[in-house]
Amino acid sequence: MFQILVCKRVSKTYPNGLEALREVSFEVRKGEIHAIVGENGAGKSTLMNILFGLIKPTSGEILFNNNHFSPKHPSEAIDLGIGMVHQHFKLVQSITVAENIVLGMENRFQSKLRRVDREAMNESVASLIDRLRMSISPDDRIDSLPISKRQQVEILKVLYREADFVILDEPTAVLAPNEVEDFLEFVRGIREMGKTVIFISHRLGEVFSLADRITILRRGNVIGTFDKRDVDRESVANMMIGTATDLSEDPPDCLGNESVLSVEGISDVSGTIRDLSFQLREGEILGFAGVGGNGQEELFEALAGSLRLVSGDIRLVGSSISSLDTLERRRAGLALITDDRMGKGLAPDRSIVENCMAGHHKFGKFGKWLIKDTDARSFTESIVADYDVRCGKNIKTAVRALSGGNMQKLLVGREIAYEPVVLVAAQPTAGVDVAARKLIHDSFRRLVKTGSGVILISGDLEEIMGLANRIIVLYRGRAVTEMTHPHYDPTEISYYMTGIRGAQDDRYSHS
Amino acid sequence: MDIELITTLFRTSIRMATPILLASLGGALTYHAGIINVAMEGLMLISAFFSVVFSYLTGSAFYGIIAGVVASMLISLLYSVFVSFLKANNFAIGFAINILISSLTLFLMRVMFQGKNAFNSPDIASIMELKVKTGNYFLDNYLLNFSILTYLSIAIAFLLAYIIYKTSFGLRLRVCGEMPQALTAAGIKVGVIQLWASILCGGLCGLAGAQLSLYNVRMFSRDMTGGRGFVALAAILISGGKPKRVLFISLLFGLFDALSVKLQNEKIAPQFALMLPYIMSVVVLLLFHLKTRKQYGKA
Amino acid sequence: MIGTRTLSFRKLLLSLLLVLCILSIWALIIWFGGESPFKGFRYIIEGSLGNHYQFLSTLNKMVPLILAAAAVAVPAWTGMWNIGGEGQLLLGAFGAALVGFSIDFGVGLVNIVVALIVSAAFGMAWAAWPAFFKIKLRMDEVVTTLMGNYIAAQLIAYLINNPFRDPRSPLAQTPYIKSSFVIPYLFEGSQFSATFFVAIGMVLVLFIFRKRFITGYEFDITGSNPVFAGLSGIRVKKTKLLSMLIGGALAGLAGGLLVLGMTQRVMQSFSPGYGFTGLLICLLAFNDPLLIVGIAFLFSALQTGSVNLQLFTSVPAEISGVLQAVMVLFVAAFKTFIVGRREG
Repeated sequence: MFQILVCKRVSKTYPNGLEALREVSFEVRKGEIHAIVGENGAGKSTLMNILFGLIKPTSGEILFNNNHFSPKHPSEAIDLGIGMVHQHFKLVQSITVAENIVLGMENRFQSKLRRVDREAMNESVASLIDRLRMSISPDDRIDSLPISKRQQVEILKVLYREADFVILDEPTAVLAPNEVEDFLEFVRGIREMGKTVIFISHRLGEVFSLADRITILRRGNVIGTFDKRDVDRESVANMMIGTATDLSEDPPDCLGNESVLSVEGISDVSGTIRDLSFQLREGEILGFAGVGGNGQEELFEALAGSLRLVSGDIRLVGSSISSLDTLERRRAGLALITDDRMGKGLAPDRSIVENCMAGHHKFGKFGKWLIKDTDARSFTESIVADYDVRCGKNIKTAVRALSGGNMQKLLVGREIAYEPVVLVAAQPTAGVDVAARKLIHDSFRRLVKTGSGVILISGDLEEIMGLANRIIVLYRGRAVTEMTHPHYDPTEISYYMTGIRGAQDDRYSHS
Repeated sequence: MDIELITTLFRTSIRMATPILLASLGGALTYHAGIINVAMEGLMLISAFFSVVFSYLTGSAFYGIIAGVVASMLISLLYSVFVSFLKANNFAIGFAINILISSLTLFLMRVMFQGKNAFNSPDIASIMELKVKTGNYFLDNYLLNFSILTYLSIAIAFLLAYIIYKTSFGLRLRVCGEMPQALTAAGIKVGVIQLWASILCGGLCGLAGAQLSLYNVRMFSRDMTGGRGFVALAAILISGGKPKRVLFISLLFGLFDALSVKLQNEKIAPQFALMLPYIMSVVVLLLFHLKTRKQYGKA
Repeated sequence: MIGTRTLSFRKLLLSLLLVLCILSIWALIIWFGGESPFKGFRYIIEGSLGNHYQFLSTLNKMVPLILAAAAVAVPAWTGMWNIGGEGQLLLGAFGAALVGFSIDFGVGLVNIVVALIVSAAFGMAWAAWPAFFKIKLRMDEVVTTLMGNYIAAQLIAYLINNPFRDPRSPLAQTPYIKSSFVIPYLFEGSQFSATFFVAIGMVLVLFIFRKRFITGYEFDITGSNPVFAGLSGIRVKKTKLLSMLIGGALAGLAGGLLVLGMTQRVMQSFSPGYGFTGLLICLLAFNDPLLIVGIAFLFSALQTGSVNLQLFTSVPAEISGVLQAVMVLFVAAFKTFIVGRREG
């Protein structure tokens, strides 16, 4: 069978000394769906960025269509028929679907006086949309589309360029469970067009449903490439992580009676969250499920104190915290794990010590005026040790040099070190490897045993069902249903998440 | 009110608005490309200097303008290489360039002309006006007989509106500022778009400098741009880089400059007259921010 | 660890190359000014370090430069741009002069301390409004602080021409400060005074403040990632405002020290652009207080040296500004090669 892509002993060492890939070799056959699986920090992103010409490998050779391949810029990769759908959308909000898709080739539609002929451009995009039987209008602005449609636009962009070799980087991370099946079907359709697909995912269920062959990466090494029929989920998971892991979890069992947090009818200015009410008891993990963009971020910000509310009240152990700012809320016993560790949760250019101190310094742990260096160090070292943050024993390292999983463990460790009454955790394990995920989950379990409560906002249904005592589903800023362990039904939950159930009073519903 | 007074005020406003308009149109291009251009001050100054030098040497305002534009473009190219390719901080490099040019022009003036703080000579050729006498007072004073660069600048404003919103380059330019990764993903080099925007900006700031030193005053003096590069920046921030709005705001700032000139002959202390354009640009910026705050609610 | 060693060797090589590049472009500029580069460098070095008097003069010129640079650096720690050093310095100078010619507390040290505090307060006030507009309305502080320079220049020109003009002087200037306000010269024939130690002291205070104080730590975190700082309970707006006020106070203090230690009055064209030279110094020093002292020494030496150059050759003293700015650009360009650009 024809090998469209051959990687021979490809290595990549970053200037900061991080060895992301170590003599990686594997082949991709033309016309197959080839999954690449691995923990975060295993080198998947580095590998894909090399294939797309964003990064140069340190050594090794790549053959594409039997030709030596070393793109210096994405345009070279695109010219060879490689298309990449990034994990983070690279769509421009203020321009239309067609403009986004055609961007880079829109000069083909220039008519006289170099004016871009909008109609011709829209028509050419519409023909592609029709061929794939999708329902998007080329003239819609991106900021008016829901997430799942944006994902499709992202892929249309690649197909429009007639890419034969499509790289999908964790494409299902942003989709609701019932959207995933459609999406997988869509990818199979791409294979039927004779194209080769590289599919990167953490979710082994999807990988097994979709891929023909699987390449496993672990810490920069290729463990092997396997035909799907020769392996099963458990063995792949073992090869990814290196030790046998238990994939199934049960929520902790330490519910108390007292309410630690009560939220009464909160709504924000823009109406993104509407009339939200719930109670959190001591020792409870309360999960908020939902498709991204249904009020999760606003809920987090409302609890953190960075969002202005127009109505409602938030009470922490009986006293209202609605009018307090973030600092005062932290003093009252709140800890916050944001979903955006690089943007909001850490200062990436600062050292591990400085990142651990942040917030805690307001509690006089390191002195009132002068910083007591030894206290700061021992505090940091205990977090680094307890949460297995791998930084080569050097706590002066800039956080940026850590892998995503280690950053997240640092962030979680710092927040739990507050010994909070209530911990608000938003997407605490997004894009994190399985080992780190387990460590983080265990730390939540330990925390609730001490009588604290945890608000777990997550798009990962498996995580929520395995950890939360109760689940509230958010849809368009409202709590549409509530379920209690052990009466969880994933299909049912996904119906609520996507508005098929529970949104009867909503003017957007189609039932 | 005296009709002569209004006429003078109007004509001075237009005269003073022209360099601000040209510079802010140039800066609008880099603004869309994602660069807040703080080097416009220096670009105008270097052009003002070389325009005067070459106009003096060749006796032709045209060659003077060309020299100014080329000098400004070269410096703008340098700025762009730093900001877009070496990824240096645009404020840091912008101010370094401004200070460089402020001292460089002074240095060159001393070396070349032994002048102290200014250089002027009757041999400096001034920029042509569209000299037409129709006999109609309104036409002659309100539409005709301005510097040719004034007409050019207004034409450029409309041309840029077309380029930014209708053409392929314009689309790429706007994407460059809003989401450069999208351009990279589409195989377009962000740096190249920013480079072109910067070169064009350099050209326009070059015209602005030439208008200042070859028309408005016909001499070169130390730091003669007097913060106009930053008045232009304020105009860009207020207008969101939309060329037609830039046109309007620049005219407004030109009016304040004209009032400043007018008031210097009045009874009040001249320092307050000289202060006026700067205070007004802060005030207009303030009003703009108060208005946008009202629109979007308190953040 | 061969990897790191070759890396630092590369750094050393690049740094040497950088120095060579700067020196050769400087030579080119001196040559263009009409003098042979080697002679030019000799005049500059002799003029700034040649003898006891010239060395003291170089040290003395560092005072406003150090403080003007610190006035940019401290706001930069929290991510604010203070381009208004020039105006803040003028206001500070006027504040010191105002106290110096109108009040007397009888004790010299009290007089000086009060005048310096007032100068810092005046500088702070001139930094306060752009900072306030920035944190309340997100008005760009680059534009407002810069406009503030022009407004301050005219305001001071008005004050020394009209209400506070010295009636006995033919020039537009304030009256001289009383002798009890004057910070005395320490050496015969030199203007070098205790102001130098005040400036160095301020730098040390800032250094310790940044490294060892909780508030200094908050400045750094705010500058590094303001959203993160806010979520950590740091009051970001207050911190930014405070940094800007400190910056303004430092610039104001520079003006006050100039008046008490040197000019003894505020006159027309009081500042030859200290604020902007300070900005350049701060850019070269990457906001680090100790580096500021080093760079300020170099810049000051260039200035005193250039005066000497003009004295003996046809090269104008304005060359120092060109040499300084060229250096900033070269260092900025090399920085990306030495530190390395981020990949990805």
